[in-house]
Amino acid sequence: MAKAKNNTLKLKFDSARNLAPAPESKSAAKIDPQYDLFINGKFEKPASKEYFASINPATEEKLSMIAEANAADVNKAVKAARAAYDKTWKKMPPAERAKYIYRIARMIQERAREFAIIETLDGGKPIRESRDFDVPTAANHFFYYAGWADKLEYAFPNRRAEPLGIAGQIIPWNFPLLMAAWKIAPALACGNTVVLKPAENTSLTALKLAEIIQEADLPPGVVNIITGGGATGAAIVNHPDVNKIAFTGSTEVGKIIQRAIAGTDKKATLELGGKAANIIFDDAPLDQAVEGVINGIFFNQGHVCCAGSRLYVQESVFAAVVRKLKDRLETLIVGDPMDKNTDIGAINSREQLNIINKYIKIGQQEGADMYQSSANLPRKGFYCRPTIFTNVAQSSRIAQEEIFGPVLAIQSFRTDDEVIEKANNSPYGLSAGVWTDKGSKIFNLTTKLRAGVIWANTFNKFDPTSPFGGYKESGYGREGGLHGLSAYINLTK
Amino acid sequence: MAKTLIEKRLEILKTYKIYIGGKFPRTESGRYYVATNAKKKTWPMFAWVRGKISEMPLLRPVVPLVAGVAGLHSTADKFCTALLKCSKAAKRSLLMS
Amino acid sequence: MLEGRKAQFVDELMKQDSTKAQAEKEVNLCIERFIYYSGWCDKFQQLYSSVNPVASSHFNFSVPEPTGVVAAIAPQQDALLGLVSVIAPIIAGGNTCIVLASSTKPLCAVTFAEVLNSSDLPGGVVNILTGKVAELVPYFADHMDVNATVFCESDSAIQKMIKEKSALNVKRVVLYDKIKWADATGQSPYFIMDFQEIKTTWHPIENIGGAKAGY
Repeated sequence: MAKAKNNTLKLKFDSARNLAPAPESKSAAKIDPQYDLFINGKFEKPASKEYFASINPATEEKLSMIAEANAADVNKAVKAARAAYDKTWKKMPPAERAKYIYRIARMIQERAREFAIIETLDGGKPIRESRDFDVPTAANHFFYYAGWADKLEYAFPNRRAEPLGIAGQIIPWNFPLLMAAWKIAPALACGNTVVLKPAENTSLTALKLAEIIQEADLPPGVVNIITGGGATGAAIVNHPDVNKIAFTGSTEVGKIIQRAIAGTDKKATLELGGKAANIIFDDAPLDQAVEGVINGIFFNQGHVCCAGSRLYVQESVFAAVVRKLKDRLETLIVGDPMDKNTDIGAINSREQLNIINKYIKIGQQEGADMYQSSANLPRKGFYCRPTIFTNVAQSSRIAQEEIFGPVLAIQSFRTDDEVIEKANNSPYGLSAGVWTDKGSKIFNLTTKLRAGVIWANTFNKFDPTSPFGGYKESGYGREGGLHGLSAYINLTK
Repeated sequence: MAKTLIEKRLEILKTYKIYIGGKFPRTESGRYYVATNAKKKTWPMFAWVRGKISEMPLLRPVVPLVAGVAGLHSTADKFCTALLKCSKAAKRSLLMS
Repeated sequence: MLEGRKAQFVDELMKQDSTKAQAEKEVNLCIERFIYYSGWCDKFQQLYSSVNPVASSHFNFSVPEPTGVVAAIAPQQDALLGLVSVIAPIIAGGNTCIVLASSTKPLCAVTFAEVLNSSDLPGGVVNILTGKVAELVPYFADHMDVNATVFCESDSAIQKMIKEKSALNVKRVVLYDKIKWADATGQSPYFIMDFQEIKTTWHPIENIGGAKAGY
């Protein structure tokens, strides 16, 4: 450690800049040139006969062609799911259901390396994250919910838990395999059958999961995975025989879904956008807090609905924290997602990069001060330098709207009440973070912040046992844990 | 004699108000409607709240009061007491009749 | 005065087409229901909370918290019992509410407001309005400061409209069109949970002697 000007210690990260490339091998994963729809236990060609290209956002190279399902395909998948529900899955003893789910969990673990590579190639996230977080957490989710299948009677006192029927599930592109696991595992454990649509840009790991489901010998039709864009999703939402919609994605689309199912009995859980406040008090361990803030906003290039995209720093440590953040920003390795040293990979798509760049421009136009790392970006592919803004107004669009990229808006505060007011001044309420050494202050904050997940002196931690979901316009319903079961059951006496 | 007088007495219908923020204001709409029963007998007049956003009470939820671990007990307790008082008030009235 | 109050409730129910026996039964049930929910106030949290055994060195727990402001359109028929059965679990869970009383049978709703007002319930926790359902429902459903809406009738057009308008700020929509309020199934802590959000808190556990350091 070297002494810095303003009497705080500066951590040295310089050595990281000179690491030799350590790329993971593409050859350890098999990607077919073309993928069909997984319906009723088989891969079938789409009725539309249409395919779209899936590209690697780090290189803009084509990875595979993916089937585009139309309404007829969706109908076929729903019929398969209904038949499987009525004839096998609903009737199967819960302990047997559990064993199938355990099988899926084991097989994901066995093929973890392949899944991690494909996730990174398809979505642009650093291999370190897909290897250490996405894939193992996905497997753990199946393990956790498998165990619930035959224990539901203990979960809801004085009630019987009945499955809902067919769950139509629509997932986003930021954690493709993990979101599939979050959706499929509890649905199956509770006795439902599934029609799942991965995001258009990131269909590959869901289709690989379909292969596993086939190999695990799940009864045909219990899980159907169909690919396509918004129109395919709409066909699932509007299908009359679907009993439940589980959606993770933007608040904008969540509202469209809520309206679309208004005239029906369909149940819904919506896990939508966020604009999490990360709050640093002057008594916090600043180096740890800065690490937490970095992880909070730059994890997965900031493509995280619970990303800590608003930072509130108590005035007395504001300058120190901002300087430490800038120092740390300089050390982040931006580049090839397949390199095991990479901290920040590729932005998921050109469209998303355009959105992020639009907001960076808005931030500057609104008068905020921008600071970006000086990292060199690869010439091909979609990349964005980690970016922080200071001198941000509470009303600024970069402090109010979800950017879904590596862009942090920093503001200062003086008192506890002030920061609570500011943090809660958002239509969202998904997550929040608090950094302080004082226990009573932590709980004062965590009880008053209107958000579904609160990290105290940590950030962006996830676990299958831990319920996740939002307040206000961040959606309703929980995923994970005991509370995540409620999303897939009807309670009867 | 007295009885017939009362029977013939003309009643003044009560004008019921609305209940907002612990007070009983009259409606801003200035409109009232008359409630009737199955026999079309009329009863007191009711504030007819106009469909207008400013009329809706803008409330801060009592949210920060409840939940968490530390704050939970005292506040839940407070609600509990208030609710019990509601029921007791109603029960007393029942017993004394 | 209290005597007058009791007479008033029964009298008002009778004016709204109940027999004396029905009216007395309904008032009795209302009292029982309030006692029932007042008991839940400091217990349901324990039942629906959890400590989550995460596989990292964190202490992680989930607790229910009130959703916020609930706009409820009370049942048209069970004018007093329905009103009480809807309000009690909402406020027992720490929410505040704006309630549109039955427009065909509004008498006891206003009297009930007077009872609430003299019962130490903080002003603003329960707010009772009277008026026509069809006219006011849209304003309940698209108000941006309301977090949840409740509707107790089976009118499918209004149900649809409430759900559609509620999407404006992702309100939670609760439909009680099949509940028999006078039955035992008309009360349960699950009614409280209809207006709760689950909050999960993560807190690191310092490691002593090994494994990963939590911060």
